[in-house]
Amino acid sequence: MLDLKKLPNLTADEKIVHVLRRHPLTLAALVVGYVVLLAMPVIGWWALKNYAPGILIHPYWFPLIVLVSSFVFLFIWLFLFQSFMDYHLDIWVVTTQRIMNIKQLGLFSRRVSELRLYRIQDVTATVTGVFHTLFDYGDVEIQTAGEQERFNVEDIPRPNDVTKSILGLAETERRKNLETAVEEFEGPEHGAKQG
Amino acid sequence: MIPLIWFLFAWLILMAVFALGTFLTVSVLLRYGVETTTTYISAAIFLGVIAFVFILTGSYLATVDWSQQINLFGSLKPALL
Repeated sequence: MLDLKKLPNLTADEKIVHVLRRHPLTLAALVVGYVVLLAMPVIGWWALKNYAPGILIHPYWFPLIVLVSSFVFLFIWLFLFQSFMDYHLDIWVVTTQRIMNIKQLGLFSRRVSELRLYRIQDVTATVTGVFHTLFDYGDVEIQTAGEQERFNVEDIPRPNDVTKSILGLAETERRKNLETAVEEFEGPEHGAKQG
Repeated sequence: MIPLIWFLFAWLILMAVFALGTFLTVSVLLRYGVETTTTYISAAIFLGVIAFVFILTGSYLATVDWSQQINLFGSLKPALL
């Protein structure tokens, strides 16, 4: 398991500032799926009892219905849980020195990427749509210096506050790593010309 | 005429596939999940509901006479009435 107190390469003076996940509202469709799934056996039982009571005491139709419905229920339960896991295992950890993006891509694929804060050049928060505006959640796009590299944090709560916080942390970190940041910003070509 | 027990065997095979899927899913969750109460609670609810469905289904299936032969297309209408 991932222990946030023991992140990989965690230095002594590094502190965790934010642990971000997608907004719980993005789980709305999943919740509807769970409600429908859990209601299905009750509705099915009620329908059989009222419209085809003969099936409930039938020697082999009812066992067949039980076999098929338990199979369908369990597999839908499994797929819904995997959707929940996809939400639960995707996290962004912002520390005083870096941002880690841990993304679960299906059951057997996982991507962990890391970005040093002093490399950050630009951070943009985007809130688009009615629900996003009402419940204040959206995307944060982080652009790094040097390369045309982007780091996206999707559907997180309070993206504007997070953006400000990341910019503040990046500024502090840039001051600490001024030399490295300037070298990276100017690029290796500039360094070679000077040499 | 199809022996009813064939459906039970098919169900058991599908449940073995389901068990494998469940094992892999919970393994991934516990291996890569953040060490929080939510992770443990969600795994417990997931497995708890599965256990409940298995116990309920199993206890009913234990009472069924599996030696019957069934005619899938000829016997549904009388059952519905």
